[in-house]
Amino acid sequence: MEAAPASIRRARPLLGTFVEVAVVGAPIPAMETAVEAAFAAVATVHRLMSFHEATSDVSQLNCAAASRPVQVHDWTYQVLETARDLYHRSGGVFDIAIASALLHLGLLPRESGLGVRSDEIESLLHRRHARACREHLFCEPSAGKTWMAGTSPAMTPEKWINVTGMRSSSAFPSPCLWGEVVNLCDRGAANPSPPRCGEGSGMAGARGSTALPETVGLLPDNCVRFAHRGVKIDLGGIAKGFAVNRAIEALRCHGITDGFVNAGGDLAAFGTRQHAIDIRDPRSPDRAMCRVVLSNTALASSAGQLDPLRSDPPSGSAVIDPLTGRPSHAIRGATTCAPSCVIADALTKVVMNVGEAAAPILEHHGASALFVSAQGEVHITTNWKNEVHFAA
Amino acid sequence: MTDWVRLTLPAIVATSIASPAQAVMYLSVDAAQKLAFPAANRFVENGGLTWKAQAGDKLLGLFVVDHVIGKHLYIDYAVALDSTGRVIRVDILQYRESYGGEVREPGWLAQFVGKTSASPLKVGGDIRNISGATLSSLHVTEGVKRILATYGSRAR
Repeated sequence: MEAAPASIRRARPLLGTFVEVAVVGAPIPAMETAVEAAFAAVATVHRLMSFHEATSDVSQLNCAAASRPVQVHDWTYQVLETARDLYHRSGGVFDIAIASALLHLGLLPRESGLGVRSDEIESLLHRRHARACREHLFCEPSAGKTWMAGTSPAMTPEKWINVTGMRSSSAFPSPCLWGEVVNLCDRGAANPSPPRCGEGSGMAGARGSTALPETVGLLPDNCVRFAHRGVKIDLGGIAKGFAVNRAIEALRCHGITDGFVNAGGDLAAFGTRQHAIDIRDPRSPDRAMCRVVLSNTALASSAGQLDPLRSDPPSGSAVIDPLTGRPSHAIRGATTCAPSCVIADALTKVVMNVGEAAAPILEHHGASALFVSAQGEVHITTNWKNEVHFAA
Repeated sequence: MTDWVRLTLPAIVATSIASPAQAVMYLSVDAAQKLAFPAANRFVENGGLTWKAQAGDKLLGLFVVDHVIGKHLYIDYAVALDSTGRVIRVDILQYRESYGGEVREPGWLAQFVGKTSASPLKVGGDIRNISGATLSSLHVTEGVKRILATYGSRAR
């Protein structure tokens, strides 16, 4: 009987989760070196793109890119380019400049103090209004906690925005606060409601129509400039997938022909082996919902974050609907399969936000997807239904 | 054009899963020690789950094994500190998660057999991989900080 080929499988805590690298079919020392290089690539992405580390490219950008161009690492620039393409192709549904909303909801650490800064509110209103009216927004603080918004400095009262309670996050649940801003925002304009799963809202109408505001300017020589002070970026929706791609590339560069990288559920495989992947039930993450077999492709999922030391259900989704600045609720979890992990990772956020309306962007990237609605119904693309095995 | 089909998931039935169902052994303590300190020729026990990595009489660093335990998870991990007290590497040694208990039941597995698929499943083959709600590694990261605070100065 032929002996099984040598293999190694290693895991480390990186990117806020557990990153696993598995390789097979090469001499052990060569595989150890390759796995080390793969982890080094993931660690580099972690260092460059962490929102939490003060020295990361992301922190440098959030600190200074509104006032001057900031030069970033080639990898950060690549991620920003990919994010820009996805932003436009999704009609603004995939948006890395969503950090203000994440900060407000307590899903990202605040730099200092508890209050929401005026530039954060302005940033949200800028993008909110630009999506509603497709025109530039003039927005400035007025007396007290009232902001004025409109298309010119000449304000009319109905275009004022009352943000009373914005700072009282303990007294109001966050969604109410955002709702208050949104509902009072420019009553004269068509006020789009958040897209619901299964509806052709959001993307289809926006794609190819008026240009979206370019909040993150990409300049030559890897330089980046933000449009205004309110812009804050978070690459949490795309960096893990990018890290998986870099780790796979590191393995290939070291002569590995069969490998697998899993960064907390964002994963990719290359080589001849097939890999069985269980997808957690987003309603009860300690259970498997279905199984899919992966070969030479990538897969990513979005759902709540799971604290492994507690029995609580997963915490609220960190996927934010850019249209409302609120977490996505209509969809409990989404999984996307695509040739590239960075694309799979980003597309899960689009599917989480617009559900079946993500079909055109999925098709553009040759991707398949499934999502679970709040009612416990699974929607799956027809090109994937024979590959995914559900428990009866 | 990409189309969608809909399926209804069965309702969640509350179950009590007694034992970890997903267990992966990544590295033994010995293997992790050698990977962290390839130049060491001996590891001297230093009380608890700590070892001094030495090349002859020269101290190369400290090797510490710790674990995090929760209702759903049990993780053994190792931290290697160099002789200046800095973290060289962190490896997960063993990972056990009380996830997917039902997957071990023959009935659950059998339902996959014979499914029409372009890529047939090898049930019971490879160790399973999981995608879905992201498992936070915060507790391990905090553990590494504790180890650094406790042993960082002793490694020197």
